[in-house]
Amino acid sequence: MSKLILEIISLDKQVFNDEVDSVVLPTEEGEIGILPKHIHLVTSLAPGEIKIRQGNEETVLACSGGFAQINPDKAIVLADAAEHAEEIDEQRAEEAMKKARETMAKKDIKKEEYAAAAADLRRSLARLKVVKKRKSKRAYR
Amino acid sequence: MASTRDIKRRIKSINNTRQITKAMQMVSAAKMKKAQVAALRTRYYANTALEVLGSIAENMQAEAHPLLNKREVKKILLILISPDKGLCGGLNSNLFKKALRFLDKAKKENKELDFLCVGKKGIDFSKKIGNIIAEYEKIGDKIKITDATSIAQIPIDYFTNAKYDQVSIIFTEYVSTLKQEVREQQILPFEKDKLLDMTKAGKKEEEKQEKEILEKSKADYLFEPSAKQILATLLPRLVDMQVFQAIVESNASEHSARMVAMQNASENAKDMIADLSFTYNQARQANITRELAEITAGAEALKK
Repeated sequence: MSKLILEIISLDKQVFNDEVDSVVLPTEEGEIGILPKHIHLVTSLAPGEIKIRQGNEETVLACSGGFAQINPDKAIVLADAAEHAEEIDEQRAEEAMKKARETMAKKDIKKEEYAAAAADLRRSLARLKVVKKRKSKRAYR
Repeated sequence: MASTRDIKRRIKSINNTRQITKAMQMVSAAKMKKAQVAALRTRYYANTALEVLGSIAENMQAEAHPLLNKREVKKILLILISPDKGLCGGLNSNLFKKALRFLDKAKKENKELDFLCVGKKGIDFSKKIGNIIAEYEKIGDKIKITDATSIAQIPIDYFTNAKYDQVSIIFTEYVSTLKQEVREQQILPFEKDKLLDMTKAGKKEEEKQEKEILEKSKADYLFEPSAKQILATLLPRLVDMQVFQAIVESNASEHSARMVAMQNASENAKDMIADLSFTYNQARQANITRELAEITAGAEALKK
């Protein structure tokens, strides 16, 4: 079976570069699964999880938005930030989530501020989801 | 020959200078390491992002986004990225030479040119020769991507409002500790050839890779949700990225150049001190010999 080369680059480093069987990306219009020989595609990403499948192994990364360019043999993900579950500071993410919620609950808030808080919220939720998933997997084992 | 006291005074003053240059060298070396890491860390992202854009550029029409809009150039905005301080070898003069050449060329072609300056040296320089629309100081060492975003917003807005028809950036690219290169880059409107130019210079790609990009660019890309929406977020982001990259590169160049300049200065001071000490000892020796000669001559005279 043909494989897909996946390269994930965040602002400050190359996070991932390997052959994979498939990858699920969180786009603005919902999650899409990418298999090898995918049609040429450029899409923007929303905060969420990137699920990478290599054989029977699944790696999950938290992504906070960005872009992806997909070619039949190679997918390039340009993420604003992409983190492995181990790298995520759960406490910080939770605090960020709380703070964002508080900001959004205020009444006299500007539109831009609300949008920024909403984006923060989505990012921290994506991070927390990845962490929780990893934890539950561990418990199961 | 100068008196021993004069020479001694000079040695002391050069020694003081040397202490200062030595200290500056140490400080720069520490900052240099940090700045170099910062420049290299984001370079990969910036280059890949440009490559991605370059490869989809073929399918983009100028109408797809205001930032792609190519029109007759009458007014140019030049973003000049410079250090805040001097004492970094030929870095500043090379940078300004390039800026002057750029200005001359624009004048010859009857284009107006305004400056947007990052860095104090560049502000001082531009004030003398042109009009500055915005200036930033002291951000090199602790720049965040959000800072670059707010700087980049200015050219983006002005370009969209057709106040300027072209935006270029001049900065010093960091190649190695010993080598920095001044680069001039057009960032708006986006043009494919120029984009590829930048990625090429960034890492000296092999030809094969280049071909690959060109081949890829022929493919028909699907845009999701739509080309317009993607470009609307991708293009401004790339401008931010380019500005950011230029600033961190300049910063790395500045500290590298300063470290090397200060190292040379310290070494020169050391040489000078060695030379002067030699002259001092000679003068001292000559003094002693002369005094001895005088004493013996006096004694000889008394004997008779």
